[in-house]
Amino acid sequence: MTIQKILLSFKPEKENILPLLQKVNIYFGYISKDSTYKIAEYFGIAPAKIYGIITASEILKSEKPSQLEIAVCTGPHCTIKGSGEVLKEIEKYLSVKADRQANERINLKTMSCNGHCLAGPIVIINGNIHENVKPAEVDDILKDYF
Amino acid sequence: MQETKIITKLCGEIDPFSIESYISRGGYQQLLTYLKNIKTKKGKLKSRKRIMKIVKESGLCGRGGAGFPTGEKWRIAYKKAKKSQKPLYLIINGDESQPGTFKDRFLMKKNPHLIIEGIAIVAHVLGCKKVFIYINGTFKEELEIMRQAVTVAVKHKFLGSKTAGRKEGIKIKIVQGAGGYIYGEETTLINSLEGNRGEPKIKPPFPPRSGYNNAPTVVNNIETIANIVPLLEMGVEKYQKLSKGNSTGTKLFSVSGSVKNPGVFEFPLGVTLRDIVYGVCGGIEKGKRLAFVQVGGTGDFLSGKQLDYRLTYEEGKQKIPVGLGSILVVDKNVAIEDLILSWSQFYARESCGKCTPCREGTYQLLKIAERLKEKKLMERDYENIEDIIEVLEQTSLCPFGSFAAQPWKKVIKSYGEDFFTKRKRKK
Repeated sequence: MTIQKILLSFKPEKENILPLLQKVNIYFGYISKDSTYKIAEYFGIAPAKIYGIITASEILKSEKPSQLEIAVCTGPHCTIKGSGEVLKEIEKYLSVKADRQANERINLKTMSCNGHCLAGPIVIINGNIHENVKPAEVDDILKDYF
Repeated sequence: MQETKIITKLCGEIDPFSIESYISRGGYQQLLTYLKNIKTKKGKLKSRKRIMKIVKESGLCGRGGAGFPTGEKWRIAYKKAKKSQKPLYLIINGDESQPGTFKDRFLMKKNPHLIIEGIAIVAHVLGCKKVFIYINGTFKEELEIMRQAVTVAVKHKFLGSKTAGRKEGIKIKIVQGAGGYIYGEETTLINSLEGNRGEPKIKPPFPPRSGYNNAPTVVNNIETIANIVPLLEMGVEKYQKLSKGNSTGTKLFSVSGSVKNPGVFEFPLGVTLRDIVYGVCGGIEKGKRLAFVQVGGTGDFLSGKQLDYRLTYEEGKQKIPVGLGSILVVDKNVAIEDLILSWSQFYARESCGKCTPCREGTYQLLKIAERLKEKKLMERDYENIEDIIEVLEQTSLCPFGSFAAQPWKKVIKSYGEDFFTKRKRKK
């Protein structure tokens, strides 16, 4: 599947931009500069507009994601249930700080409430949701990804 | 006090993937009754007017937080559409992303056909041909359930062109949201549907007058739509009797925090916080003591006698504004610094960046919150806090800026003005 094929499966109407970007994002994992230009040309709008939509979204990515994408929920419920300690434990295990510049291998970030409150604290690793995470379990969970 | 199950009556009892189980419990009856009445020559107007009248008289308010009367919103949009000869769009807002709120996803997951039947009735009443359901992009499970439910409903001819022998049908398009808190705000949602960057528009004009593609648009919350079918089943009088006071009907409350039994519960409006926290939720977890309860994400910190105040949409003495119906219970073991940091992180992350006071103000508040937690608060910080809060509240474009200032305001209100000065760095 190339970017052309995905483009042709949508009509060049403005309301199709968001579904198209989501599809590209799923296929390639991110939306490259090249794709952005092609999409902009197809819809006849400025590339900056497409880039604006991408950067305003949590799901769409403009850069290649890291191999290990870890998100720790720091919403009020998870905070009460102790997500701060979980985050500290993960930082210790990976020896990186949260919410800093991501590198090729690891991207550790905090995340807003995702509505999974009943099973907090929540840790999402590469799209897999880990529920009721306790600081002592962090080692076991992360081991599976190495 | 027991739960009053009106909207959530069938939740958990039926299979969300099977339309038959919904039909066997009396599902889609209200839609068919309505369409039958509309078929007779003179009945057409009567039926439409009857439903508009029922919704208006029932006093049903929007459940998305602001509590605008639903009947009034419909009337404005319907009138405007007739006058300007433009199509009327109906958008269902399922982009629920307020921290600690999970009622819409509960409804979509447990009883999708209740929502679809409600949408079909409303679309026929308002004369919409195209309906959008905008669902939060991170709700993958709910998206699939809703997509499947719409496909099955079309197959059973409750939607689409052949409903009850009618030529014109309604099309429901399910849109996966871009993901982000601000998309739940109605003008941002419309912007996103039009293929623009997710940023709020300046109001007025409000969407019922000029919304999607400059046509009149009704934006309703999932829970509001779920209220339509039970309301028609019960009739106005019975519906109004459910609750005490002027706010009518029931509301879903998402309770989270240090309670024994968190979850989604349905209660009539006018219920007290004590009934919810110490009733169905089973009280505070063992070995912990209640510090405060917060309602609606941006509300006051309530404790002691305030727990006996009533939760309504009205404002007044001894009344708590419900908002989205999220209830956060905080115990005394939780450090307030952690919570401030949690809120500040959220607002700094979700600020869309369109207007300067919000973009910079939320960032500065986050930095102060980080220093507060590390006990490195500087003198200029607590001098700045009140200025930042005031600028955020007064000059932001959309209500988001004012929301971002609320946690800080409430901390100062509950813990006293010297809360921050007490925590300055020791030399």
